[in-house]
Amino acid sequence: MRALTARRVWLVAALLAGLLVLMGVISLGLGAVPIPPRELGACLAGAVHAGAGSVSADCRVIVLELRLPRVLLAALVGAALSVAGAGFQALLRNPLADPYVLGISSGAALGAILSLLAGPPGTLLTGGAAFLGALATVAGVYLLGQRNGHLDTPTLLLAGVITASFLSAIIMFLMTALPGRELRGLAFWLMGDLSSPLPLSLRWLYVAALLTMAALYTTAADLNLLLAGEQEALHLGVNVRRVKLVVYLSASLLTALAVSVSGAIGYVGLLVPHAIRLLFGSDYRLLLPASALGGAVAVVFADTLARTVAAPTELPVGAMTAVVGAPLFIYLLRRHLQ
Amino acid sequence: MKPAATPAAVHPAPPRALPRLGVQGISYAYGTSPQQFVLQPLSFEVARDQVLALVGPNGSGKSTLLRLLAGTLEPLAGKILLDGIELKQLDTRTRAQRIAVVQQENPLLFSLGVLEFVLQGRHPHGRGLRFPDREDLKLALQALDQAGAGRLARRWMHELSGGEKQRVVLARALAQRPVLLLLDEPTLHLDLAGQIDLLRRLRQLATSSQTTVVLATHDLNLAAEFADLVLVLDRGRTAGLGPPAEVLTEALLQQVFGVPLRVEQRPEGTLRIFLEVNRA
Amino acid sequence: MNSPALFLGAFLLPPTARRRTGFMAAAAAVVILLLAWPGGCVRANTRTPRSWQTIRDEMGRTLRVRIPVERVVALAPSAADTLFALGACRQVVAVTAYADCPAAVAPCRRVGQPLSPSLEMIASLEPDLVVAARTANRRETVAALDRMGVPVYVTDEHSVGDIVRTVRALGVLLGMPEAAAGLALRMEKQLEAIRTRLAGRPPRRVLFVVWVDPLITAGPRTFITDALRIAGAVPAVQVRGDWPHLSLEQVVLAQPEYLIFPAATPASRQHLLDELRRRPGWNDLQAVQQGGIVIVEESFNRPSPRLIGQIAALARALHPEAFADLPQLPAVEEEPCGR
Repeated sequence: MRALTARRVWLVAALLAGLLVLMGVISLGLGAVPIPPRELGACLAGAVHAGAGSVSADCRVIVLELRLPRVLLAALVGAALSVAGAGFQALLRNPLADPYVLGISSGAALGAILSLLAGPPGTLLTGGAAFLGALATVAGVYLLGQRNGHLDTPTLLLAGVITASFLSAIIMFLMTALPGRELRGLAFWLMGDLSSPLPLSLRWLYVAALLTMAALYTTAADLNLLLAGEQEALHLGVNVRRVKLVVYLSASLLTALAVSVSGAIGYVGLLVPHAIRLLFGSDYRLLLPASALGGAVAVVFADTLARTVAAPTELPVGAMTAVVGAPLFIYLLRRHLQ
Repeated sequence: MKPAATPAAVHPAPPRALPRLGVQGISYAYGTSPQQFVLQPLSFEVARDQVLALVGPNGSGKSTLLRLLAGTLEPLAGKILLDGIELKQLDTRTRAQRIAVVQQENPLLFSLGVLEFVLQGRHPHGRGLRFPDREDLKLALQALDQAGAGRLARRWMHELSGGEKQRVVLARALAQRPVLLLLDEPTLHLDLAGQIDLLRRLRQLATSSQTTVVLATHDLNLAAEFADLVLVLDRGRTAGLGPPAEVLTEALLQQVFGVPLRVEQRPEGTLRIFLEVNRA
Repeated sequence: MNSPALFLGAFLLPPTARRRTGFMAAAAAVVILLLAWPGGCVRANTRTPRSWQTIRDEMGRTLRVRIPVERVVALAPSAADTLFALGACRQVVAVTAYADCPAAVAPCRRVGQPLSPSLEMIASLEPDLVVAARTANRRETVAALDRMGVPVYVTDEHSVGDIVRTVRALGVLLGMPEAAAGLALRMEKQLEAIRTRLAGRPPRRVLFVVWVDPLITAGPRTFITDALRIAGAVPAVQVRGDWPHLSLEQVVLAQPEYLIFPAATPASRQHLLDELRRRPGWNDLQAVQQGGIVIVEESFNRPSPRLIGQIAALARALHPEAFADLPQLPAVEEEPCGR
């Protein structure tokens, strides 16, 4: 087999990026209000050339103000979750790891619920409280997952799983304390919902996510070795402690960002890296950027489904990823076993 | 990646007098009580072109000693010197540029190509994302040849037999261009021909590339045949250290291993060790 | 228009007044029947100049609306019902799923479910106003519409009186204050008539069962509890919050005289009774043992003018002696719901 070259990484990335753009444009035209391709083309061209003020109302309100931010958000969340999932799979040396295995989504949900309970009536489910909850969980699990002063993989996994379980129990208890009305909003959020208000502007979310993904990418070559075992990696010159810390923090931060803005969209972080491995191999230097782009495509696709399958009702995105993801998971599992 | 310089340039040639590997009074324990001492204080030296065989029953401390030599464990007391420099002072990257380890078990989580696997040996010499350049590829293929696995370059790791995999793992270690090569029971999965082939290659490596080889093995005959020095460990204690002919005596072996053995000296100077099984 | 309500009101007048007003009532009924059947939509008054005004909704939110409103989206079934009761059917450009009252709402365009409507569709309809209900819609939806610049009036009824207030407020927004005043007046008259009939009678102790499993009831600050009070009932169990969960034990301890169930179809009461008698715990209740089950229509759950008729029906079921002198209630109600 040929060794991986930078050129191949660029090629695959370009291919997936092209797919993402195509998926995005198609998504802009689909929804409860169908916008035919010609109108969509005119809309986008007009917006690019002359600014948002010059296009038709339908174009401005529906395509530019409603759908475009949503498609961009979907891409961001998909990328962040997939990269985080790939990172956790390397860190925990477990192909079943997903971004939520260490309790981050439970922590975020708890943060959201506490803000609903403690805040004045009329508090919206904002990402800020969820993000804080997620960060607190990341810190807590980090402290619990230490052994002799550094992150110990089996201890970390145990700490994460127990924390997730514990937090889920608290969440269930608190949900009974919530008045019924709030529960509905929370239920949507928990399932993964791309229509909640954003805690930060989309631009800053992108900046934060891209910087974090870049930080994680610097360890890509090390991760390839880490997968073989910590001892082996150490013998091959990998600074295992530093790499584990960087991966833990980056993957956790990406997960926290994603969950704060869109609730717990499932299956993406678990399956996209596996699909990319099946298509392009397990080398993390390719896997990480390909997972980011592939994940973006996946969630934009799922969101498009969510907006069109039961139109005019908008289903939560998480329901779509589950419906598509579960059979896909079974298929991948069988293929892997053969 | 920048091409790695030859070992001579990376490690300035030490004066002839200095041994490649110097172990001075190292010991190791997992707990604090004296009974938990895995290795009693021991010292030895190995020259640049020598092969040292570590022998002893299970639990005698062979693996622990190898890990100390690799730098993954720090000795409780004493020093380990590589070309005169204390191991403790080297960072992980530098250590990996000079010391290569071949372990018993090599689990693989995801499928990998053989060439990619061997290229991992170039990791300590590169930076950043480490996309391989021509030099790296050349060194990797050379390493595969040296290990006798040249024809496996295009295969997948999970397709290989136990013996083939062992060679590829050795190739990866060789790709590191180490000055010290540590092997833990490398002949475990190999058939007879394979065992002899491996030891011959290691011998060749030591002589021609001036690579010091330390291997832990259960096979006393291979140790006797191919090693310059033998260190016999008995429950953490040094039972014998020196050339095979001097150390591998019936008395010592029977005492350490607790099984009846017969040692035969051949006219050409080699030893053969036989199991003495009484057919009553 | 709600002339049938007037019909009903006539039958609730106390017996002594009936002989005197009977003739007049009959005449009036015929005239009004002729004028108002079938339920008509009030044409939007295009001559009233439209002006931007800042108003507060029932959640205290401020919104700028162009009054009178010409295009309105009803984001909750109760809002749809109220708007149609006002006669604003021509101004209603869309409703949600589950909006089935009155039947005339059937051909209206739907924008999805109250909890997850399609924002795009609402935007493309370019409404002047969206009417939402705190009980039926999510805050996030309202916030999203806010961000899109669509004015949203959120209703928040905690008593039957609040429903009347909502009717008046919506009337102002839709530029039909007289129709609203008329409707409000009729509602208040009916309520007064019910109160008069029930005056001095001890209320029945009841449990309103919002959901059976888990057992959920209506809290003191809900319009449902107020409606019960007007119908001559009082909650048998003291609770806190708006939609609290109850344990069956608390109910057994309180032993309400009647259990009230809102059902989508006032289907077999017997069927429900049999079902309850089979369940452990439930069959310990006197109400179940003695058949004290009342089924009210689904619209009892909705804060709209239709509720008044439902209160009357419930009052009659709980206090039959107070209505003994009235013949069977006419089959006419407000314009019936679609199915």
